[in-house]
Amino acid sequence: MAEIVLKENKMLGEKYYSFKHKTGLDVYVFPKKMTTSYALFATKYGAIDNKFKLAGESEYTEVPDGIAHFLEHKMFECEGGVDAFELYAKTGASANAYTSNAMTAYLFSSTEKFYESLEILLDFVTHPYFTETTVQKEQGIIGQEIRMYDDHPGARLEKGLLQAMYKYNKMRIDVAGTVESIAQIDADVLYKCYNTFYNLRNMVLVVCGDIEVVGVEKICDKILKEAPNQEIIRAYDDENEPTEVYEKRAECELSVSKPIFAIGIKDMDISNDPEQRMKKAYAMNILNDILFSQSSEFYNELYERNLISHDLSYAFEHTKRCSFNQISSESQNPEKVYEFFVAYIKKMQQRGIDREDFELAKRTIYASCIKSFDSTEDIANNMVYNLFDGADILDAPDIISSIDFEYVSLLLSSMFKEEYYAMSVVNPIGKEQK
Amino acid sequence: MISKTLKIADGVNIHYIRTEKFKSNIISFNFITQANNENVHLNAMIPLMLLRGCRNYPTQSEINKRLQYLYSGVIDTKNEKQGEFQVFGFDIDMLSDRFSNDTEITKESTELLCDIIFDPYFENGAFSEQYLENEKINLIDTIEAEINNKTKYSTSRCVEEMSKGTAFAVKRFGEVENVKKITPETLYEAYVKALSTIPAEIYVVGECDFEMIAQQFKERFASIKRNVVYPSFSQIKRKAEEVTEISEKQDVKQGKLCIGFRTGKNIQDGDHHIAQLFSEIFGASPTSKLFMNVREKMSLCYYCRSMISQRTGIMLVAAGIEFANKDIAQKAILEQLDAIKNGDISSEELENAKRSLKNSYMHVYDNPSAMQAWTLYRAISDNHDEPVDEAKRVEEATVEEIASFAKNITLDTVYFLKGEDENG
Repeated sequence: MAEIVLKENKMLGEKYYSFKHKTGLDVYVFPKKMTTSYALFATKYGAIDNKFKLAGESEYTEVPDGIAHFLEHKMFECEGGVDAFELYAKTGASANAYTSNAMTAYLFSSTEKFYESLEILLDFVTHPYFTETTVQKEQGIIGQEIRMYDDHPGARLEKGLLQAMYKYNKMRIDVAGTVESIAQIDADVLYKCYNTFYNLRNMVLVVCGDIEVVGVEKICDKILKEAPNQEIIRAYDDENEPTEVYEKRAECELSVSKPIFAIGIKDMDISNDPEQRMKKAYAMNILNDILFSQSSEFYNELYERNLISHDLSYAFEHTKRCSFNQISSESQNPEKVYEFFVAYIKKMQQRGIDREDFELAKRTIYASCIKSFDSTEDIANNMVYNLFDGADILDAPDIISSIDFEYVSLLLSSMFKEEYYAMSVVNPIGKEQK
Repeated sequence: MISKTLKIADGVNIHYIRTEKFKSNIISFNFITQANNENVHLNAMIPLMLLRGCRNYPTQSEINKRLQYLYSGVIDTKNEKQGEFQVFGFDIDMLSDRFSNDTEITKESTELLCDIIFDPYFENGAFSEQYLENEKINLIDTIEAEINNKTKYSTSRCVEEMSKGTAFAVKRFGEVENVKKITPETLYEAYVKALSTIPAEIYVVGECDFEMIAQQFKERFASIKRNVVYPSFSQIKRKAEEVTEISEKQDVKQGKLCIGFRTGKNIQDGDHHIAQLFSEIFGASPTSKLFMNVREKMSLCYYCRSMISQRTGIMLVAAGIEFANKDIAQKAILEQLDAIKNGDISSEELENAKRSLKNSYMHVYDNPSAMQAWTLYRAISDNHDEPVDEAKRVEEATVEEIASFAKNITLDTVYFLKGEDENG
């Protein structure tokens, strides 16, 4: 029996157990009295990991863009032509997977036969099976997935923004790759990536629901084999990434009713300490709420002048590998919104934020953090995202409480500088350039 | 799921779905009326305008500051089409009182919601002209933005074509031309009409002082003279006559195929679980015939799925494909349907579908909004079955029942969205 560690947050009334399985896998069990249980088996391997070697190897391996996502698709096919979905069909679990820039996750949710489904999950993700025929077949399917995103305004907007902000950072890479890049993928290169990154020491298992630690450990014992202790060295080639944005604008045309824009604010100030990163992330959420929420001057003035639509969204992404803030909406005139944004920030920097606004925004962020513990799916996904960045979701409420007015004021002056701003715009087709 | 229901005014009920699972409570306020082109845009506008300001908090900014103070209470406007019905109102999500030691979150949030619904911000006895002009532009933008999501656009175009001239075809935000004509006066009339004639169902989900909430709504309704007009059911078209082919062009990279069928039944005819089971086997799950064949075997698409609307009885199959593959995809989809009609359902497929469907029914109990939506949309169709009842009924279903459901399905419309440079 592995040594089990308990972590608890009494205010939230939540806790989880964790242990290192003898095979090298870190396992987290988050008990929650819900009808649905949720399991997530994830590897720290995403679109940005396209150049790597194992410690001791002399040469880096470089692989085509989109391969982590391709691998995710292919993992569902098991030896003998069986599909993992067919196996899950025996337990009734609802299964899926996703790939992001920094991770690949396999998941299921179930209302019965949890341990049987867990067995399927651990089994198929640890048993790759690729042949040239199955790889070719997948190229057709993923080709259509890429086409779908080509027509998707939100996906195009995001891609434009990342490519405008970053010159070297691999966030520039499309998670699904391109039709051309995935054409270069074959079974050998898939095995190479699999054997490097699907090492249990590079993975985590998080389960959340009405579940017991012993049951989970038993399934791990049954299915998993000890992983070789190998160190993965990843080359990100972004040492020369400038603090300012690469390009001020990214524009494309799609068949949309009116322009959609995203203003990005690049941030190269990333702490090595995960707790500091979590603190900054929540503090920026508070600041964003003060600056851009529906009670802000920014929102209301633009809204009343019909320069933005009802939905203005803003989000701050902050991990070890990348950090940026973004504000997006629809507008007949994105350039005008941009000008307004620049002037508004200058004004706020001179005037400073209001203490009452700070307290209100802090309440908002505190409450939404608490509410995020209402679903087994949200808990498991947030946990994995944070674990891969070295952070712990049960620390969040205390970290939010520790954020003071002075810290948030400081962020207002340090985070917003014109050379950090870029804007991505998706225009309707044939729109005259103003 | 409902542990208590109180009638608080003529045609107004408040229901308590009590559950201790969550850290927040929700209140959902729903007006339910017949969808028609005379009123749909006005009703859609009501929640948008009410959320612009009330007498106590006359601006959007003040309402939102109040919500922030109430621990990020979130009020969403709501305007949905459920077949021939329009459902509009508000949903509010409130952090549970146990996480605050200085604020009565539930009580004060309910007060705010009631202020917004019953005590609007008026200028000279009518809605603000300036707010209205603003909201008209926004609503028109929303209607025009429906073109942005090509998958949704193609499915709603298909339904529209299949339902021409009926309440089912009425668009949920109405027509741009009609939105333009809204004035502070016509909107005020519509607002008064909603308060005095449209039935309302209010749901409270969570663990809170239900009686207190019910009392607040009751007091607000007490001063309103109600003369309720109940919406009536429309007849669905049970069988397709001839197949309509529609193709449209836009500057897109991927073709969107949407095939519309008539199932001959809607939820009121009973046995809705058979329709759902059929859909699981046909195209609503990753082990369905469409997924396994059209995607996995033929590699034609990333998605190809079926969905059945519980009120209209319309089934849609949607797929994103290469333009040139339209005929081959259509043929493949129809072949899979024929297979089910001929009873080609293995016992394994049936058992898989049962498990998968039960799983999704039971999921409802883990999400307050899903519990509320399930209860409301069933109630609209006079169906009061809970997810657990449906899950039990699913157990009993047979291959014959599903094949006989499938046999009544008729092909009505084939809609295809393709690129500007494509022929045909």
